Amino acid sequence: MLIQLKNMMKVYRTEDVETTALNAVNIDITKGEFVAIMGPSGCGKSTLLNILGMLDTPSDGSYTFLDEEIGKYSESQLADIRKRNIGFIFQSFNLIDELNVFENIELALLYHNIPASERRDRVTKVMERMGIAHRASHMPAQLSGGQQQRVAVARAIVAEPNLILAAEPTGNLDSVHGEEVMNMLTELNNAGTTVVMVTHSPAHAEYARRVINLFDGQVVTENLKAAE
Amino acid sequence: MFQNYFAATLRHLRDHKLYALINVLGLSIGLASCLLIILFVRHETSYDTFLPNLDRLYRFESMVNIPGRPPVAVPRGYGATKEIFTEAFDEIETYTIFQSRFGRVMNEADGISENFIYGDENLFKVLQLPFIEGDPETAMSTPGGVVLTEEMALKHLGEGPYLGREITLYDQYERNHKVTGILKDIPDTSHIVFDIVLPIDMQIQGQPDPNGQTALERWNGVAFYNYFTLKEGANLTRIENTIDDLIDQYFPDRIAALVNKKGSELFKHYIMPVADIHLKSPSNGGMKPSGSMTIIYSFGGIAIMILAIASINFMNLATARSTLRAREVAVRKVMGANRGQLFWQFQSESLLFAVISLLFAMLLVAGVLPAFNGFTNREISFLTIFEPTMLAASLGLTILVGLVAGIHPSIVLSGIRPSRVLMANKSVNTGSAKLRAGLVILQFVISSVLVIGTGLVFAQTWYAQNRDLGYNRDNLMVIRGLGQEGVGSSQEAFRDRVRQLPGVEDASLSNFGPSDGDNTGYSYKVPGLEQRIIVFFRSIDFDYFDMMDVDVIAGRKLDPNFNDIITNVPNDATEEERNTPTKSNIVINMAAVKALGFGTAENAVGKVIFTGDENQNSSTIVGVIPNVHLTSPRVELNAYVYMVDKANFLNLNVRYSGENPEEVGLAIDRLWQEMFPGTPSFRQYLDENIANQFRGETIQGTLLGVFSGLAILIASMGLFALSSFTVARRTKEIGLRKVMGASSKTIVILLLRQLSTPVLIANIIALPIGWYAISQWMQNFQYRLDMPIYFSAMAVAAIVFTLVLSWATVAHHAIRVAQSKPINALRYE
Repeated sequence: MLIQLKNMMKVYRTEDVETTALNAVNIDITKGEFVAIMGPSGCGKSTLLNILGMLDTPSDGSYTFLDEEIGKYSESQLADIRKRNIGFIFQSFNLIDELNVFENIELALLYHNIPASERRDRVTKVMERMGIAHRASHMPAQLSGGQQQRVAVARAIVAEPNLILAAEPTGNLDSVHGEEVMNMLTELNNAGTTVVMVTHSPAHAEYARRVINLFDGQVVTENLKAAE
Repeated sequence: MFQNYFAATLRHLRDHKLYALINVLGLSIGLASCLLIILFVRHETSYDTFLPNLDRLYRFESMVNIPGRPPVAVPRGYGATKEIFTEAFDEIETYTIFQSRFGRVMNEADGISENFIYGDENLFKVLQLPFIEGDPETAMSTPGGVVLTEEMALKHLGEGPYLGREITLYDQYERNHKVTGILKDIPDTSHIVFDIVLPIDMQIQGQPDPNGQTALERWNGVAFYNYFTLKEGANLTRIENTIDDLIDQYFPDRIAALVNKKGSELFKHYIMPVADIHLKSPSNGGMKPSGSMTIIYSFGGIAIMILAIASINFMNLATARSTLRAREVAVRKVMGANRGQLFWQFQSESLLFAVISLLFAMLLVAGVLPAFNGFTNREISFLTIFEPTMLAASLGLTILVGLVAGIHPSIVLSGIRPSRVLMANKSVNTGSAKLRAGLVILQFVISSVLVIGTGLVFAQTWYAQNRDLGYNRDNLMVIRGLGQEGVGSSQEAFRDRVRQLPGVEDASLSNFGPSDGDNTGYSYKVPGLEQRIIVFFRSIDFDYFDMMDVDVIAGRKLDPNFNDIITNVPNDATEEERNTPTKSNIVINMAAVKALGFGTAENAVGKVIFTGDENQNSSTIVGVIPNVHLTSPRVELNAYVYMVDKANFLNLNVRYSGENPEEVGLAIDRLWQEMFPGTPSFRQYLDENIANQFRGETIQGTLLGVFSGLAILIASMGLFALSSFTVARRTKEIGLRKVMGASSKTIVILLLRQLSTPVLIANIIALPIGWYAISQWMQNFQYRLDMPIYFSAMAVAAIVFTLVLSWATVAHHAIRVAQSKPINALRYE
């Protein structure tokens, strides 16, 4: 079992308003799965992904990652688990404007104590695989949206994570580039990487083997498709 | 890894040049100010450290307590105490006395005026200045010898070697001296100024005065520098405890009776370690002007304030702009960076800023050091900055600034939560808005204090120099040197011929110029009063008061038709002649009326007062003038007596017509050369003389002005950048206001009004601080401007200035955003 959420609660409090973003969510994800999370705006998809990615901490409930209960872990302990296991892909790519393509991808290896020469090799390899090697010294602003998302995918996979979390990875792309990204995710999943993806698009959710529908912070349906 | 950090930093700066410029410029100026003060402090604290026996080296100084006059510290003592102290105190190893006088080197026709030091045989055993030629042990024991500094030797004798060569000197009389030693030029960091050093000359220091005493024996003045070394291991306690009694044993009763004080009270001796002379000796006017801890503290304080303003800019701009770096932080965190790593990334960025600024600061220091040296009258070398301790201090300061300025931004930036930035695409909370506002207030407090301080320093310095002194001070110049041998007794003839010169309106003789300080006084016996009263004395000719537009308020002026000229006893007078009673007529000022106890001017006229050991000489008061400040405007006006004493006509005061003062001056010089060939003269404008007396304050004021200007400039740059950021953040709000019907004008007013509140708060905080600081500084002055009125005026000026400045700073951004179409504003996010 890769991920086990039990009674996961997330409540946002301001001075006089309390908003329940996640309400007693129970989800299990095993290694090698491809899971799509769907639901209308404000249903808690992003919150769920943030908690799965250890970018946010739950208000209550238990989160077991690789059989470790991580609910009470400190920020730096979480950062450590995250960097060893999780790669992220975002709707808005989130490349750093001041770093070039190579340096953006290298970021994912920077905090792993990997020697510079090995970093260079691995970044070069992944750039070749994603077809962006000739763009290595370009700045993000010089790239098209599809190319930027390829850089983002390259950055997500260069550290060879167990889990890829993708937040609306196709949201800012046209249909051709969107499909390209979905194919890449499928390929990664076929190679054994667990993929959890938040999406609005039913068509892209079709790529996943399991679809979780959220509504008002609760899991309403889980559709498991037969193995192909 | 650092490569990756710095790649982001440098490209960020490249894309935000204004931000980078403001930070680097501000920090550079702040650091440069601090480097200057570090150099200055290091210079000021290294005085005389080159003297090998510094830890055992002392100087006797005297606190002069003339009755009726505030105590004055003088760096000298008696000539007579050398033998007395050496015999009485076993602790003393070697003792030396010397005197400083002006003389002339006669290699050219008129001679060149130089500073002569007349010292005894121990001079260079006590003050162990390095010699280039000759033997310090014997250089001063050769009669007719002379020791020159390298500079003097080169100036008057050309290239060396110099030993045994002759130089013709004039002081009282002309003679040849043989060079017995050459001193290595004395560094700027020494309180000692020696140019030409001669053995004590019995024809000068050994000449008896009218009382039959030589300068070496005299007790009525402190004319000799006294230095001594203590034996190894000895201490000063016994000397300090018994010195007063010892002086009283020898001090003549005659002088003590004149002032009603014991000798040890009249000239109170104290011991000053030579190591402390430059910064701590209370006596100014030694061989060179001394330093002052106050200047170090005040200048250091301002430097630190400038640095603080620059650091605040750095902090505020970095946190305000954290939104721009939020994505970078968030992505790095997602990639596994922990908070500590990011904290240090931003700290190292801040350090990088500081180090870059240090390099610029060094260039700035190199550029302004010559001007700074000129202003402070120092010779500080820029290369000093590369000494290991100085480098360490500069680097240490830079690192400290980098770390301190970086802490807050680094905490804010490293604390950004990635989930908010990356997923929701929401703007980050740049939560420290309140802190930023507080820091901006702090900047304005500093700026406002500096504005108030600068304004009042200038106002007070101007007032001190230009206030009404009670006489007509327009177009006056003073010709000095009429007491010299070459002039003989032609003072009045010279005056009469000067009066004939075109452009000269009037001329009159006196012993001192109108703005000169207090010097000699008479001790008067007033019938009915137990104590004798000291009254300072001015000799004037009959036209002096008319020329100065001074009138009597009672009695009459000194008048040639009366017997108003005092009789002088010649130097070679017999004892009997000396004791013959004299009679004279005098005019006094109102301060003297009070001091002598006559109450009113009318009451004083006709009164007779007495001088002399036996009260045998009588002076009749024939007139009273009001309290006209005919002395140095720096000091409180004392009791003065005016008389016509022709032996004391040492200066000619000239009123010129004002069209061509320089031409009048040259005509006077030509006349002087014609009448007294070979005798040097010295001409000075009255305004110059007064300005010189306030040189210290003028320098302080100018430095304060320059640094205040810099501080305000840096603060404004910071506010400009900060406002561009805050106004941009409020674009949406302003757009909505406009949609709701607000006009551009109301929006600009709204923005300016919101800015005015912190500026006003800052001024309210600044006022008491400014009041306190200025009141302290005003203590330097005897005559102060009306503080409440001027302070209020300056406070209003500071408030208006800071408000207008802040408005002008943000107006650009405010107007731009207020005039933009609301739809642009709303689309902005």
